Amino acid sequence: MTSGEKRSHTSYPSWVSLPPELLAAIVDRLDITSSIRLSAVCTSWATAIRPHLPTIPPLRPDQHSHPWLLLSARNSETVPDRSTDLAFYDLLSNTSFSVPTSIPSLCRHNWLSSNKGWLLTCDPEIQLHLVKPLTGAHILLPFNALRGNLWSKVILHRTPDCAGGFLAIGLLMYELLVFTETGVKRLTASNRKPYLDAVVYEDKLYALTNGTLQCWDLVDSSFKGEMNIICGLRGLWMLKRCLVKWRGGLLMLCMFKEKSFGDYIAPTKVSLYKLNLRDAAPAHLLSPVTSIQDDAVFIGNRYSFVVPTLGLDKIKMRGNCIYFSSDVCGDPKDLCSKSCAFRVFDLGDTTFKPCYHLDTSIHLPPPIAMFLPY
Amino acid sequence: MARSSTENMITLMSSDGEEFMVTEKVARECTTIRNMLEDDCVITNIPLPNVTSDILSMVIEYCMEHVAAAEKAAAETAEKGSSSAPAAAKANKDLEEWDKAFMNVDVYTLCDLILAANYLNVSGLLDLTIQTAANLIKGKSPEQIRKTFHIQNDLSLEEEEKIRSQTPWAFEKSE
Repeated sequence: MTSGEKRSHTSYPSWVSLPPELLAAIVDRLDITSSIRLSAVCTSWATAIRPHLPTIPPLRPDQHSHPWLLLSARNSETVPDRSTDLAFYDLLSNTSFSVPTSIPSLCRHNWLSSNKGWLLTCDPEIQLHLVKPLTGAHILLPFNALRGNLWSKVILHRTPDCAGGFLAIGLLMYELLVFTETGVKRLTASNRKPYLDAVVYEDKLYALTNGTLQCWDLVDSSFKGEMNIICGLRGLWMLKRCLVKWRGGLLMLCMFKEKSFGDYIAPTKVSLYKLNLRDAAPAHLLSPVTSIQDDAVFIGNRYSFVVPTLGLDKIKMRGNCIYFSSDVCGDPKDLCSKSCAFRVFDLGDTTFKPCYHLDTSIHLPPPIAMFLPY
Repeated sequence: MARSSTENMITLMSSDGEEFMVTEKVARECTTIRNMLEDDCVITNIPLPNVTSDILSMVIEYCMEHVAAAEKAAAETAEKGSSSAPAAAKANKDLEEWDKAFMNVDVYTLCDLILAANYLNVSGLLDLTIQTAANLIKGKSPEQIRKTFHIQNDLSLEEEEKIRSQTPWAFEKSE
């Protein structure tokens, strides 16, 4: 029943005078950006909608290096089959808030990566999703034949907002997969070694294996070579290694533990190395780093990035520290009893510290993922 | 509109005086009417002063389609002992397609349908119309929303600036 005719609606209530509870029902099905825009349409809608909008902390220009901690995801109370509410904690303003997304069932996803307002997730069917929680944008990644395979890590290098479209890199045990809008490319080296981590740096993909660093050209997917990386410390057992971008360069972070197989895996030693990738001589590929100055590094099983602590006046995070999330390391008993989300390793005196600052009692809440909102 | 002479028929009267004769089963899709019938079971004539004839005919069309779909599904289950999953999925998909086509209306009609679905308490239709309105809003700028719903901007420049300045990122790019 299409009717192009414009009926006279003088005797009809129109959209402007829609009862607030019905307008609220519409808002329940919208992403937060659309709801805010709806509140800027006319006076009556502004009055009806504004009290229901969550208070989201302002996004600062330097927000790109300050994540929101994703604390929880649960189906919306009002429209459970249509929307997921995400609870965030903002480091800059030390506030918690909930964001409705208009994307269903996100609570069943695993959180893999985040970049410039986008989250990369994996659903129970091993389908990868790109979602932008603040606008409700939702894209499925082109690949769905990996049943039984688990992603050890997926990096969202470029978001769909970029001119060239999105670019994500997935790490399987022996394979690297490059996802773009045109499809998936598999990168496999001739000698099969398990991949530990990967990072994109100056248009090249660097993939870390046990003892080597492989380099690929991202533009033509060609293999550029393999460099040896030996950084073992005698008598110590390597727990984890990862790559982090820091101040225009690349760091490799190694976690060690004295050889023992106790019931938990807290490291006893952490070493940082700068990768001198522009230096041709392999002997100088690694140089030890003893300080990352005022910065802190967050390390989770699926993320690793640097956060400057200088702007964080409210929560006073420690600088020159590595924040290991509880999924990476830590005595489960210890973590549970103190409800502590991170183990903090101070590079200055190479000891573990309480995860809150001495001057404050603010604990960082335990995140399920990190989200870079801007 | 009668499906069988043995069924109770109810007359619904629109605000402009038009009468619609429907089966009690169809009328009961409207929770508001169901409640009236349960309070007073001999009632056969229900005036609906808030709903015009053109909107009421659409609401009835929606209820009849959904009652028919439910009856068909129930009949199939009774026949085979249990409903086959593919057949049920197809029936659901067909009904979804019908809903989608049913929502091909102008925004005035959509607004009237929301109000009628709310007044008559037809939860399926309210859900459908509210979602349709939400889909019309998603990704649009405030100006595009005004255009879509034929709304005058009565916000002062100061008020508009205040809203924009609180969350400038929400106004950065209209898709």
